[in-house]
Amino acid sequence: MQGVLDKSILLSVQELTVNFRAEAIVARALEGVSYEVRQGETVCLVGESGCGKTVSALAILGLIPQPPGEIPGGRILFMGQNILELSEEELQNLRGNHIAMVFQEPMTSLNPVFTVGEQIGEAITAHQKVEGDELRERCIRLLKDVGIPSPAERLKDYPHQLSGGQRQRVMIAMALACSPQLVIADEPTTALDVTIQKQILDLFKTLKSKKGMSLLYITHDLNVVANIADRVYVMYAGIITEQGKKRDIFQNPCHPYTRGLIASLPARSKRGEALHSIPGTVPDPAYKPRGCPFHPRCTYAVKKCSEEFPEMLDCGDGHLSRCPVVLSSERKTNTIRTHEGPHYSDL
Amino acid sequence: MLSFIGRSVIQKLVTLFLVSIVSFLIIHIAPGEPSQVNPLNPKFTPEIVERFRKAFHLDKPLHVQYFYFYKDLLTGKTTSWKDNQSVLKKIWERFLNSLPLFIVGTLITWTISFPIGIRAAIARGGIYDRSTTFLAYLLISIPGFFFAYILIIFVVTRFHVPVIGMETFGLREATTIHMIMDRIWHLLLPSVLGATGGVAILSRYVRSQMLEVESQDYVRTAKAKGLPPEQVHYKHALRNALLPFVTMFGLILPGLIGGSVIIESIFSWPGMGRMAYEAILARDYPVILTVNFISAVLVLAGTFLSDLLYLMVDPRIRL
Repeated sequence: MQGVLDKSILLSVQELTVNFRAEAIVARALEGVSYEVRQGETVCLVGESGCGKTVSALAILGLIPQPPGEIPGGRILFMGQNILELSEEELQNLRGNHIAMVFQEPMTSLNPVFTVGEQIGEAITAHQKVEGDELRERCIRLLKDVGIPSPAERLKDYPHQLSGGQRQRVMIAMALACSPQLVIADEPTTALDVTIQKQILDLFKTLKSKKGMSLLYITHDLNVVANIADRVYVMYAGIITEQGKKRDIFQNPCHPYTRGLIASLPARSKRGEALHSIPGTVPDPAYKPRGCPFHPRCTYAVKKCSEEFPEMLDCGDGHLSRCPVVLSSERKTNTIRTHEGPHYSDL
Repeated sequence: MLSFIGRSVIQKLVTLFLVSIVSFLIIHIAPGEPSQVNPLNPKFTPEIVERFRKAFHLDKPLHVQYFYFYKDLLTGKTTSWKDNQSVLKKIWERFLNSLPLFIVGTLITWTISFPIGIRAAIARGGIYDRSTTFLAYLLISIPGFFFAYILIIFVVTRFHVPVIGMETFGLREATTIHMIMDRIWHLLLPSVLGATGGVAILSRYVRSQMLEVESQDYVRTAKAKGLPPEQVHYKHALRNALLPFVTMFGLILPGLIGGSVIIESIFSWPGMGRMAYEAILARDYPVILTVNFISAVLVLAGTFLSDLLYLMVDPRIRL
């Protein structure tokens, strides 16, 4: 597989399928999802709630509870090693040490009965033999790195004594504890105020360039994507619908879903107009429509869409899309039209 | 902190006062008074009944009786109407009898329930979990006295475990070590039996509490850090799951005086529970009310204690 050979590829998720089973009902959370994260790159997974973003992140850390979850197919290669085949001990060594995760809700993701210092210290001692003053020093340095004022005093605080933004900074400090090669951030700013969101995003950017780690950033917010991503994967109902460089995705979206998402963004150029919205809702993962899962909501849909599951098609330069309708109709005129949505630079 | 303690003590004193009134009234509302317990007894002539009523102030209005009773109680002079003994002395003797039963029973309950419940929660849905669930419901469903008789028949005939009283008759001459062993031997069946119901219920409670905590985000965070499962379960999850039991721990304090009427009756154990039960049958108001008062004090002390314990174990609670 080319993923194994290419040294710059840190993480390669290949055809990953995850189901959740409850009695006779099978919810197909992920159906053959593939994506890659290269060294030093920021990759965004975008999609509506319930499209499988978080499940794919949990799968990378081997944190999908089985049962009810099951992983009938696919591979997750991290530095050439298939995570799905690792033993529990090997997974433990991986978690926090090589791949760390920042969760969505900093309040509930921190243990309420342990101090910040204990929780960060534990993230270090889980993988390294560090004790006493040295451990304390490292905790303080981590808190300083994530921009928490007077870090030495904060170590003795409990999570409930911190503000939302500070809690998320603590979560990030915990993730960075062992300098992992990959940090997965699962909607880390969703629960925060907009002003704090910006600070946390900037923090991620600085830390990334300082530590040279890769970032897999999961979000439903295209503004965040425009701000932080190198490459983007758009997910819908457990599949990747479109992928490409940030520029391609925003300037030349080739999938109706991506176009709908971009069109529904507020922007300066659209002042005074009613905002676009995609009709309908995300299908229940247990009862997905046949053919292209997006076709019931799609304005481009033709008869074929409800019959055939669409293949990933090349739009050139690593830009792939799962919509043959858009590609064939617009290829005829020999130009893929530039979308009239807002330019990502004015988001 | 000090203001919390002060406030709470005052609140509890007020509650205690109300409890004393209500329990006093309830006893007096109940039909039958001590002088009428046995009207067929030829000794109970009208004159004697009248004298009896006078001696125990039963002819006075209720608020005066209330005053007399609590004056006696607070000065420690309450005496039983049945045998004229000091109530506090009587209770103290019975309390000392009940204490070992209570301590051993509680120890068994709490030390066994937690490992069972925690393990069942961690290995949810497995054979261990399902069999403990089955056993727990079985033990909860069997009436205590029925289970006791099954146990007595089975254990006594096989292992000759004593089932009557606290010690063997006529063992006065034995050495201390023999006396102690004899006591423990007698304690075995009642305390195990007293604990079974507790273990069945408490272990269920521990299991559900633990399951609830295991699904929390911070447990997932702990796993994502790469901590070994023991630390995830026994440090991060357990520490949170234990919080509600701190409250329960304060509330076992009243069990000190309540005793267990059923167990003590089955095993002829001369304990508190039986004494209170007999006092109720004999309308021995001073004994009933004193036991009632002491258990009210213990309940209030128990809630106060659990408030303080909560303060110590949960950093989110500050005064």
